[in-house]
Amino acid sequence: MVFRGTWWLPLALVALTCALQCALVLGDADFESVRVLMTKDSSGKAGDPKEKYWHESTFHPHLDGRFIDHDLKYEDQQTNLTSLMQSYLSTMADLGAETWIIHGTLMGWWWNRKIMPWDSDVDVHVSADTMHFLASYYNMTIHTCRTEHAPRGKNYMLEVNPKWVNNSPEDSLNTIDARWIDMLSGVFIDITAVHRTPKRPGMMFCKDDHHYREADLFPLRDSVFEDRPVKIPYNYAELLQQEYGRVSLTRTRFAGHTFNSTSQTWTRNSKS
Amino acid sequence: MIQLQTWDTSLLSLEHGAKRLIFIGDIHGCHDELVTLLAEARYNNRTDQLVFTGNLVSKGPASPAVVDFAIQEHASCVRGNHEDRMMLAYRDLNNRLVADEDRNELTSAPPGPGGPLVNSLNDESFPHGDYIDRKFAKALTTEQASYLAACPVVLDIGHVPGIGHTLAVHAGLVPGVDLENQDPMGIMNMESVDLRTHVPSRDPKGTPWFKLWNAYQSVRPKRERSTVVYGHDAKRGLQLNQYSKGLDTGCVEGGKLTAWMLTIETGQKSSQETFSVKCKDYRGLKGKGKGWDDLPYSPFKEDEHGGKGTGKIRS
Repeated sequence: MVFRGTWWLPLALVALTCALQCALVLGDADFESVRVLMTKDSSGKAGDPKEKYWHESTFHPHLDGRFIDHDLKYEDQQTNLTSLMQSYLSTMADLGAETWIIHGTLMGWWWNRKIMPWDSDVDVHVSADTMHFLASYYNMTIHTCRTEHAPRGKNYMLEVNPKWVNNSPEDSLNTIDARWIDMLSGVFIDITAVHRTPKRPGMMFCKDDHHYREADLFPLRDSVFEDRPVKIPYNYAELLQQEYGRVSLTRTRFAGHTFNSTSQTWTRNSKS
Repeated sequence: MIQLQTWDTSLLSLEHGAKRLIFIGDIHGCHDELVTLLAEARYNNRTDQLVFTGNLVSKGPASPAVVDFAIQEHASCVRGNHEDRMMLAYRDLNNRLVADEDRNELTSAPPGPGGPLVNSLNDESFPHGDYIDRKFAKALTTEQASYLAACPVVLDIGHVPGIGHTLAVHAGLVPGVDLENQDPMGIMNMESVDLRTHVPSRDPKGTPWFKLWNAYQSVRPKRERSTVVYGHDAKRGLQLNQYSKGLDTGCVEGGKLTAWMLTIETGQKSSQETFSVKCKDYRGLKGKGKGWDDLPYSPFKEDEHGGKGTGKIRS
């Protein structure tokens, strides 16, 4: 009898929660809801345009400011990216989600099946079907993965940009469809869905305005990357040449590093 | 995918008299022509060893029959760009986990709250750009698939009397790079080699790879020279150079099917001859779509997609 006068209150609360949730979709999951160790949000949310979903950190464009408040050391960046890649590949294989590496990450594969040490992020593609599947069932899921560099396991979050459903490159503030984020170091993988180009049979595109011939991407090849099974695009060498030029496939000095063909590794030039 | 296979030396044994190696280029499913060619060459499977230099399948009328013939005759083979696509499609079909684009009835797309599926790959006009490969791959028997999967990218035939060290590949090789370390995609597709970087390419405009190959061999010590037998290059047709033998004479497009034959009489000597038969033009075959190879080589032009270009460097 006590609640008789306020029967509408629970309903109002439900409505309010819904409204709040809808409002929050304006940006990535906010700091308070996903923070782990940080007490202060270092994401660039305040300065970013309202329509932009992802808010990279204020100090590095390839770090997530919700999870870290400082830049990573050279060695830490490498080990964190390796674990990030390994965890992503294993998890996607477990989920049965088709994905392949692209851009600078594919270039790393070309040289020695590893991420290049000067790279600060990882790029992968998924098919539109896979993106739909991930968005439907795995958005905001956290996966604990053990890797060589993190034997006790580390948490990774799969976050989908709800604006992925608008695949027009004109939405240029939201060209990344999803991210696989290391919740401890803030490094992440950019995931972009590949769509078929309307009215251009045989062509495909990503929201970041990269264009491909379907037959250059498919059928995918099986290989190994960072000691994990990986898929790579069919015509990998030509894709790399188109994007980075012919010389990039053989140039052994780049970005302050030299490729040692005996050890098959990129080593940092000493400052002398 | 097998990168390199070395021939069993018994295949070159002269125990039972003279031995003949018969190399045949891109058969492309032209079974009738293959049978006619071998009849004219008086093929005898007890003394003759067949070596197919890739692209046995696709485009033509009877790919499965050609593969069955190859199995029956214990023909050696190398992996051509068409076998490559087909076998990748075959693996993919047999390893599918979530979405099978070709079997709509099973799992087209998971239903759910993730928004409308804006870009279904389900229609058969061009799913994954490899519909033709998938169609054939689906029809492969296990035996045919295992035969094709076992074709190496490079077949090292070994020392052939009178010729020297002999290799078979589908498209070409870059001189001076170990066979194990060559890019397989290049070996199955190359037409030219960039002289500055030695990176192989499908670009027909650069220096033909075999020019570089022949020049390189001629300055090597005699014992270290190698001859490559290949196919792939129907535009140039029969190309018999000292250290490279190109055999694709465009059979499936109404050209010829050519066999290059080596008769080994003694441990030191062999004789060469070529045989050709005329082929029907199968370009108008029903059900044949435009394959990847039919696309002209073009390093992505801006107007091809109407977008802003792909020259962006991101890493």
